[in-house]
Amino acid sequence: MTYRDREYIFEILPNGDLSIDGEIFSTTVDQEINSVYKVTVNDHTFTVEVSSKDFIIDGENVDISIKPFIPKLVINNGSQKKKKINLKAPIPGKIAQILVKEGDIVDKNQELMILEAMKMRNRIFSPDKGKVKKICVKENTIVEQDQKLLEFETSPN
Amino acid sequence: MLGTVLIANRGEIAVRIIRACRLLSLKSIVIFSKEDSTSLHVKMANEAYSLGKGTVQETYLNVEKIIEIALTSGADAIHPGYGFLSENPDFAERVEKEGMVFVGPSPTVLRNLGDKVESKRIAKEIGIPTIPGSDGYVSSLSEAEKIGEKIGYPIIIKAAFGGGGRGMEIVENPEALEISLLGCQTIADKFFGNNKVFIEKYISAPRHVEIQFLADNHQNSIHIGDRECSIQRSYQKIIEEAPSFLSVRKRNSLGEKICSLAEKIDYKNAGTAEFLWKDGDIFFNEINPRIQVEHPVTEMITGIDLVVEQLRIASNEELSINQRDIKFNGHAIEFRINAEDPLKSFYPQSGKITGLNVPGGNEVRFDTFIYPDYVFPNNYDSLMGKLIVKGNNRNDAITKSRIALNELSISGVTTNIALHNAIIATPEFQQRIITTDFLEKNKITEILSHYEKLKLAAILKTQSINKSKQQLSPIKLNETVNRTNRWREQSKREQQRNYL
Repeated sequence: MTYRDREYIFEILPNGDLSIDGEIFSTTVDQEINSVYKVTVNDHTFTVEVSSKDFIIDGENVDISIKPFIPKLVINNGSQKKKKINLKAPIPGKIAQILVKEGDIVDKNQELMILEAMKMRNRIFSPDKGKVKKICVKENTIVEQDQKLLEFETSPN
Repeated sequence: MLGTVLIANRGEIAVRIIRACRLLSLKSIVIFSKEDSTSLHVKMANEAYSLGKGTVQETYLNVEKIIEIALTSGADAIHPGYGFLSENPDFAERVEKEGMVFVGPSPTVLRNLGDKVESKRIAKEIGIPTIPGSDGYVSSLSEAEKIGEKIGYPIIIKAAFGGGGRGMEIVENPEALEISLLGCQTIADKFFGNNKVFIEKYISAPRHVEIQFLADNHQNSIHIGDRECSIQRSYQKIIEEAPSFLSVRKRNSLGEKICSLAEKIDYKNAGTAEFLWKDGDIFFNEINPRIQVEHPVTEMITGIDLVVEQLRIASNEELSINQRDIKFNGHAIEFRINAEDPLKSFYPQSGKITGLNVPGGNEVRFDTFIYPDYVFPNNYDSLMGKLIVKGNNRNDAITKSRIALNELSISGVTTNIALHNAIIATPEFQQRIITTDFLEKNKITEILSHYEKLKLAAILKTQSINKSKQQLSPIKLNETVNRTNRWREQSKREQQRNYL
């Protein structure tokens, strides 16, 4: 699931407890008044308002999206499959420099781009060994958070 | 008195200065970039002029354009706020040359104080303790080696015109000296246009203390107490409080020395002298020749409106307050509310404010420029606002802060409000065991990460209930409220520690 653009994995355990990223929480609902819930988690009490489409927790409106978890297949026997990865901007900012061009073969953790935001130069690295398929941005342009920066294809081992 | 003031800034400080102008019945004029056309300062000012589209250099740092707007709009003074052009001697000089008043010290003073070695030399002359280090600039490796040997490692190499945590290199041992010296000189040249560097003893995890002062054009200067700003993240202050932990005697003696320094260099207007404290020793760091972000904590405990005083001084008025009139009352804490995600290495956030709940109550102040439906831009500073809370003493102020932080909610953009909650809940903060490495030392982001999961669990629980409503058996109000609140308070701290 996604909460504040951060990814979490959760599971509802058979005894009703929740497991979030491996930490276990017991939750009880103390009250409900017109879709406003007083929920106690471990030792903390929160006020959660539920409307038709979103949640308000202690006054703050939050966005969550839940999708079923599909365990990733572990491939460790030298699979020949190529995998496509879209690299996205982790923060909004300006593309200060592009260090590769389309078709380049790159190593894992090679520097691909520099994204400038808030006077800081953030380096974008390649996630794996592979090929730069497509560059989707130009130098000196402003990008939004999560905007696609480049398409990347992992190379078969 | 001045008549019209142009505010060469944006964000919460522009709004703050507009309020001071209104109090003094001055006309306020603001400037704005294209991204800021819906910003609050544009709505609040008497007149607003566009700087057009472009980079910060083309807008808020565009001296020619700002001067042109000031002249055509009939401004007789320019208030630079903090950041942007506030410490730029060339800008101050230009403002004066065009016959307007720069709300701040003279260009000469700005020039001297901008040079860290020069300001250190002046402080030393007055008898203010400074950090051991080189007497002037260092250009050769052999010079650097000699100083390193004399003061002992670790040392820090700093760019003479650096600031904001940039242009600094910490050197742990003599072997690393050559490469660090070269690196720092290169950065100094590239970012500050001058490759001059100097060397100081590196003080690890100090406490940050500062003294506010005011000086008018009639040889009067006063010091208005101290502030502590030790809670920082990557050299940026996030929580500030007044008074600091210094004794009354120490505070007064430092204040008097700072006033003599101000008189000696012919300093005018508001300023702050920054110090580093470590194991009982206090060292002068630098003078910030402008209004500071954290000025409200001093205002809260003294009742003095510092921005109003700035404008009065700029109007050539004499200070209305004597040193002996200054009384400190209670304790104030300021929390910088930033659009950033502490759990994603403080990445700046932006977007539409979909909901805003501002806290209230006795002695609770929220200085901000955000409003519901405002789209918080990603081009500028991440500061959204400042929550300032005053109490009778520090503990009282912390209690009130907890309540106010819980009331404050901003939807749509991730903020650091929860980080502040996590900080003030630690026994270390409550006992004031604070240093500039507080966040790392107390594993604050781990505590925060746990808090966030608790919230998430609460949401997921309501979600599962909503799916199967019939399972729910509501309990009566008076049965539960007392119970939950009592043990929530008690267990908060222990429970937090258990998870570390």
